[in-house]
Amino acid sequence: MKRATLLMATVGLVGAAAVGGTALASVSDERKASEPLGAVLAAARSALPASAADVHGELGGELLSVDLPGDGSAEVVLYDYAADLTHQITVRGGDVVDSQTARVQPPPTATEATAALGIALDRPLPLPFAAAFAERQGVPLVSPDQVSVIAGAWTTDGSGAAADCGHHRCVQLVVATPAGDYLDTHDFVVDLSTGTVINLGAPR
Amino acid sequence: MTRRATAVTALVALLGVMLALPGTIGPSRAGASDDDLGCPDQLVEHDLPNGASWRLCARIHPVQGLRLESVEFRPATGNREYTGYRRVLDALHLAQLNVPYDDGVTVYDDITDYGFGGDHLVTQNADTCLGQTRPVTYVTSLTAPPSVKTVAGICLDEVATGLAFHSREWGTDAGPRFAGQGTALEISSLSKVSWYEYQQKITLDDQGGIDIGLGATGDVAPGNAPGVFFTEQPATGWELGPTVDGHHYYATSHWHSAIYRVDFGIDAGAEQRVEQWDYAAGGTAANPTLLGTATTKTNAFVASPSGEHARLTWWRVLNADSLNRDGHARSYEIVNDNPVDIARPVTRVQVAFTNAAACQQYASYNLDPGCPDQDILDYVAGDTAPLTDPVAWVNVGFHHVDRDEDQSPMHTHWQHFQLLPRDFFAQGPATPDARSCINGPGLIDSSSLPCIATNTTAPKVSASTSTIAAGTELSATPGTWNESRTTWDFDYLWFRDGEPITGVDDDGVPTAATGPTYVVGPEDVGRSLTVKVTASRPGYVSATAESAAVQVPGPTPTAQPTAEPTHQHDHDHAVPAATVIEAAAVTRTRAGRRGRLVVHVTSLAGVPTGRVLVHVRGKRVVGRLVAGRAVLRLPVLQQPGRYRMRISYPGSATLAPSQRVVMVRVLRR
Repeated sequence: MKRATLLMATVGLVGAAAVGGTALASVSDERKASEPLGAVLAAARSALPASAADVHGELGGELLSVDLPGDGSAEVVLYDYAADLTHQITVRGGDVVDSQTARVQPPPTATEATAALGIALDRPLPLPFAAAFAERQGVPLVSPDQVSVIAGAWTTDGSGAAADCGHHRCVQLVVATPAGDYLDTHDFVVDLSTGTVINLGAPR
Repeated sequence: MTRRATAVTALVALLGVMLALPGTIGPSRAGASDDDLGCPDQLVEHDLPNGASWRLCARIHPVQGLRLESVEFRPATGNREYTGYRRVLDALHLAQLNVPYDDGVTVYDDITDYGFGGDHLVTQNADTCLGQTRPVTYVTSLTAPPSVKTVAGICLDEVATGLAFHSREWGTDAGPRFAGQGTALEISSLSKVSWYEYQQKITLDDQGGIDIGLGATGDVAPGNAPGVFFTEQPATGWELGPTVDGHHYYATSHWHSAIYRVDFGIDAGAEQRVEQWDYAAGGTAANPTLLGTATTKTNAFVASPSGEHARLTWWRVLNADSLNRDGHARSYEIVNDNPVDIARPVTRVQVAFTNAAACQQYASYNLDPGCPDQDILDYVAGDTAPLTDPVAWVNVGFHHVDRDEDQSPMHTHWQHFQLLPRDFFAQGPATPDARSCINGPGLIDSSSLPCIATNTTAPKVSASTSTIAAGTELSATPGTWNESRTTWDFDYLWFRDGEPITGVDDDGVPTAATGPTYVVGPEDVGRSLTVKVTASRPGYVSATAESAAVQVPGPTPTAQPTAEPTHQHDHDHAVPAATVIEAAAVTRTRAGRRGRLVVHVTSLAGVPTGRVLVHVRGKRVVGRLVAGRAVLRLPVLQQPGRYRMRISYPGSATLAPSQRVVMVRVLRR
């Protein structure tokens, strides 16, 4: 039954794309395409331990990326915050054909960046970057949707204030105000595994 | 089989669909089928104007960005080198981008920490892509829950590369002159990682060369002063902007160390070899010499050359089982003359070679769980097998000292390396016919030592009887041909009223009147007979010459069961031979400018001369054929769009007229 649904979704997408065949057309059709994504993700998640958690602690693991090598397979990367492990799962034809696990820290997603910024803002005393925002913008920075944010994976050699990073999933934030100014965020990283801010101290 | 079909179907749904885009770039309908490389939805196959072609699989990897696989080349010279495509690379991608700032405060690994795909991929538009786009499907986390998004993420373009070759034989312009303009297939994508934006651009040219470029644009690292990126230290930066309250602020200089993973697949060889060339000084002060030494590298290694001539050291990957026509092993060499950041163990490496391993995808902080957190030094240390399936980790360094001019939006700064064929072909893969016999020692002299067979006196036919009738034996001599460079073998084919004389033997197999003699038959009475002589020699370009017509006296038979439905031509003359017009299927120009069009007119019966005409939008231009080739300046077309262009060759006494319609695409100014 599942296969049949998948096939029909495919036909729908082919038809839609073929009509919009102009050189620079965007062929986005998220509604139809999300059905096979759901099937691929469901298969990939079946390879995770039952306790696997996402960045918010919900069951199912955090989706980091899907690569489509073009040979009919999908390589799904998920992070399990419960065990702090990355799972790389290859799905082909709805089946899991390979699954590998290791402690590596791939690039964070927008979901994780927003979660990390939320943690960085949830403090009684604002961090310097939030204080700088208030100074420039005239209002306090209280929510991630007031800025644009991306996050980079942050690992260490196991020493210093952020010694757990690498073992834990830590990120460094890059935050820009609506005016396009980047705020200085080099003095801290966010440990998403523990939901805490780690102070790195002044740059020099 | 059923399983495979299902998987492919599911994938198509996830990928979105490759559009069959109009124009020059996209899966070619000619030749091999689209799925030969096993990536039907990611296939790029493009014929370049000189006749060369590239085909490969292209996609955007969520972390690596632009990734090419199964890269194969077909030369313009075709069968003179080899038929169809040969593999050059199995895979190519950016495996790390290390960005440390000179003040020691910050280091970014833009690939493994941030990634070039996913939500960092920038959508192409008419300003970023002058060619055609390919849809890229990825999972975005900007929606909750994550969803599939398809954007125009890859740009494919055909670009001019300038004068590809020029050779003037004489001391003046009066003699033979050979020139060719080059083109290339350009594949690019854009990614934004905070203030920096990068264009990944891979240019595959019509001579088999590959240029791998990384362009950095966006903005200089911003921030308050004094801060991380603007300090008051002149030693680690460059002052941007005016003095503020007596303070000078310096934008911090930084490295972009781009390390590429190049998985070689020279002619799909099971065993490939890495060769290193080093140079040392010899001779005397008055007569210095430079001596090269080749070393076959038998195991994985890291190269950080030192010494006086270290920068001359280079590497190539060869397949000893794949020989070009000269018996030389096919190879590609790495051309990389960029500086390296010697402050860090990974980036001080100029190049490392390992055996291909699927889990080794990144130069440092490897993300694949099969070899977690390893770097190229770990790969080399752990690789003890003989080096037969080489992957090169090529470090392309760029040290950026900001300039006032780099301020927003930053003028793109580039770092490149090249992969160039070395003995992949026996000659240049676009060598013109007239130079096709120049291979090794020997004189270049198109006038008295031409590479093309040249007839100077037409073939002659003599008869065994004074009156030609059925039963008369005709004998042909080949006439006179240039034989100063080589001698020729001659083949003969007899014609009746301009049509080859054919028959069928007792077994029903078609036959033809070949050989230097021909016995006149009853069916020849009242008709005109000629012989065409073709001069050939391996390694040279053949040519054909035709004798004068021999008329067989007598009434023309009225009922000719084998005759053509209509004979439009006077029997005293041979039927004009067919001609073929060749030109780029689509020519691109800019509105308000005059484009160029190269037209070739060919015929089996000789080299066409005279004029070719081009009609477009009621305008006409005329070009003169030189050696079968004409270069026309197109009329100015003011409006962007696509125009039909009709090329016509009016024919000559011996050659038939022909026509061809191609497109001209006029881009915005």
